[in-house]
Amino acid sequence: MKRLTQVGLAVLIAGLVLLLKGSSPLVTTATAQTQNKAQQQAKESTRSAPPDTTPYTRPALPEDSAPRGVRAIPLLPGVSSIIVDVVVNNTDPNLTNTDTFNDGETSIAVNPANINEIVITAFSESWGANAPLWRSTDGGNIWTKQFTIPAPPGVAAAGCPCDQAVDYGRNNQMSGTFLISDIFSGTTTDPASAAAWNWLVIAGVTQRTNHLVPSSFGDADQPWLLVNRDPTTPTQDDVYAAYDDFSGGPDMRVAVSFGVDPPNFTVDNQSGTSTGGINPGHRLAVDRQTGFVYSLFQRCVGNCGGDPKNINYMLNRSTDGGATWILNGMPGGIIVANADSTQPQPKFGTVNALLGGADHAAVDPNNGDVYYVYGSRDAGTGNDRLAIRRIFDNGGGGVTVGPENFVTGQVEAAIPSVAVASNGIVGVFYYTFDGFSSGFPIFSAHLAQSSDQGVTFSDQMLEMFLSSAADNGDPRQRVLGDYMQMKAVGTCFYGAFTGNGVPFGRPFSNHDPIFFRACPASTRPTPTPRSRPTPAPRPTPPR
Amino acid sequence: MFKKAFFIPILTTFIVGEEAISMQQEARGPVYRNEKFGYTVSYPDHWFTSRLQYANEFEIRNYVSEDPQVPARNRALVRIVDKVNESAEVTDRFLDSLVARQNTPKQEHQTLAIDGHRAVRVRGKLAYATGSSIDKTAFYLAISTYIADEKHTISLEASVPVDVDESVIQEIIKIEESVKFDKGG
Repeated sequence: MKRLTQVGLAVLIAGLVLLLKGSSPLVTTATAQTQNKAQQQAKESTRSAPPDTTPYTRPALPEDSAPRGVRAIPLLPGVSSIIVDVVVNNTDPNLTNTDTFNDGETSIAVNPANINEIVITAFSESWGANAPLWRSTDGGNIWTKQFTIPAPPGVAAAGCPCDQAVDYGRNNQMSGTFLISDIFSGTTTDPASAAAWNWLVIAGVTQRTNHLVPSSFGDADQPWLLVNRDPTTPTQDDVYAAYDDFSGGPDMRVAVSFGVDPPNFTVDNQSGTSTGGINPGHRLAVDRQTGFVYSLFQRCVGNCGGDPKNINYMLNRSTDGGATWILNGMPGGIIVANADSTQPQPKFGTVNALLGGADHAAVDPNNGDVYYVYGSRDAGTGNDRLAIRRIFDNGGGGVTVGPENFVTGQVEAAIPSVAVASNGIVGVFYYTFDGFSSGFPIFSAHLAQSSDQGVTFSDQMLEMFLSSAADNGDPRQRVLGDYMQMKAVGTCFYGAFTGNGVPFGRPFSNHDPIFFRACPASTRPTPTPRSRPTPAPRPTPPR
Repeated sequence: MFKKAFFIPILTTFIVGEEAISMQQEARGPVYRNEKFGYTVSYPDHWFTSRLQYANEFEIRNYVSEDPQVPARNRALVRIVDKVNESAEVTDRFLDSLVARQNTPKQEHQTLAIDGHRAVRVRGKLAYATGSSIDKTAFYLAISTYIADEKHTISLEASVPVDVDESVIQEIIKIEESVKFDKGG
């Protein structure tokens, strides 16, 4: 009866509307908006703007050297630990007086064949001629800014590299992925030589890394590259490039090149689907003992137009070289955690939109456990803390997600990067926003370490600094960048972050890539390796 | 505004009842059936289901990423999301909150009745935070319909480029209004 009444009412109202307005018979309260408005909105759509490589500089303030009277660069424990400004500790002694580039959004690669050879990339200058990288051959004490990244042949690359990420494999091969309007990836055995880069060039044009997915052309974003051993041929290294395809959900894609130099991406599959309102924060983590690869990303599932947003932190896995992605029977990945998070705006510390998410993961090289760090806003205090979960083998081909523990206390934290050393120590790099001084935000870079599988952490501040810039009104302003990167090699953590150079000796306030190496002594026995599932035979990919 | 001819079959469906519904589905093509909540959504033959499904979501697109036959400006996806609220009153309050929003040039809402259920369609620009250093925020047109089913809400959330053809918008609206409940309205 109720249904009949409703249907009758609907028909009556529909008929009236049809008669009076010549419009949808089902619309009871229609607005007067027209298609012209959609066309007008179309004109407002923009996807081409200069990168935020603003050289944020200003005269140095007394507080730059000691924010709030605190020593800006505490001594790192451990005889092998160092922290240096790569602009100051440089083979060019004048660079500290002249370099004013943005230097945001760092990536780091450490050569496993020679851990004294370390490369950092950042927004340190764009293509026109070759773009620069920062290279050290003495373990990170002294650096050289080398203009040795050529633009991919045949590609209009001026103004970029935009996002970029580098990683070393074996045989001295370092691969890098670079965002232009699409993604291009190359490999070099000598980062000091522009000529040593190999790109897959076809008919004079470098092949896109995302070439197998036409929908992504012009819509690819934020590539993330890691090298991993092949799951079935342990002596072979494969290059994985994760990226977002914003023509879709956005779609999380992972392109794979199998053991060839230059990289040739012959597999590209979807590892998940994100949502609007946030950046997906798509990242990779690799298990170098099995060749398994993890794809992690964010999905906004609540209050996506407001603040804070409710986010599902997702994890997916491929055990067959990226041919298939599935975890615990879920092709779209599993939910590792659900939490509120403040991103991308209001800006972190009022000056850094979080357009790279608040998530990262790494694999314990001893037993394959995955440590997943994510942003979690405390509803009581409003602080965006960082939490962590250990994800471990469930013995049945899947994984179990462990309980939530907190990396930070009640602080406003962001831009995490996690790594696991060979002695099982879990390290988490992150920033905190600590208030204001002289009108500028105060940030601290931290390295938190856990020797009990991420249950408790001890915190080491790396640098406290005043931002070189205040809020400029741009909602996409990023004085730091979308991500920072830390990796573990052996028992040491190697990281690079964007920080103020004044405490290191710069004569004016400018952000630089800051390198740190922290080698904590193990406080627990080396973990016993766990038996792990045999990798599934890979379906024959179209190589 | 909407074409009269498009809505006449739907109106007919309401009048002649469930037998007509199944006939209409056959005419329309594939049908997504949600057994848990007891409803169906019809979509055209040239739309595809996503391989990747999430627990409370189902996704269809009018293109395949690896071989898109549709021009970029007309690529559309619709997410069908189920949410169970604490009570029917909470569902109503949610729809009330959508209706209470002021219509602006950037966002507008319409109150509908779909298969006898209260529904609200919200249409506006959706900002994608790309995080790219070379991009400003990308804008998409979002056309979302929220249907109340007691304490259960079905959200049909479409996103398309803002310069999409009107024909694609009409397809989306048709999909979003194709929801049929097993138990009726």
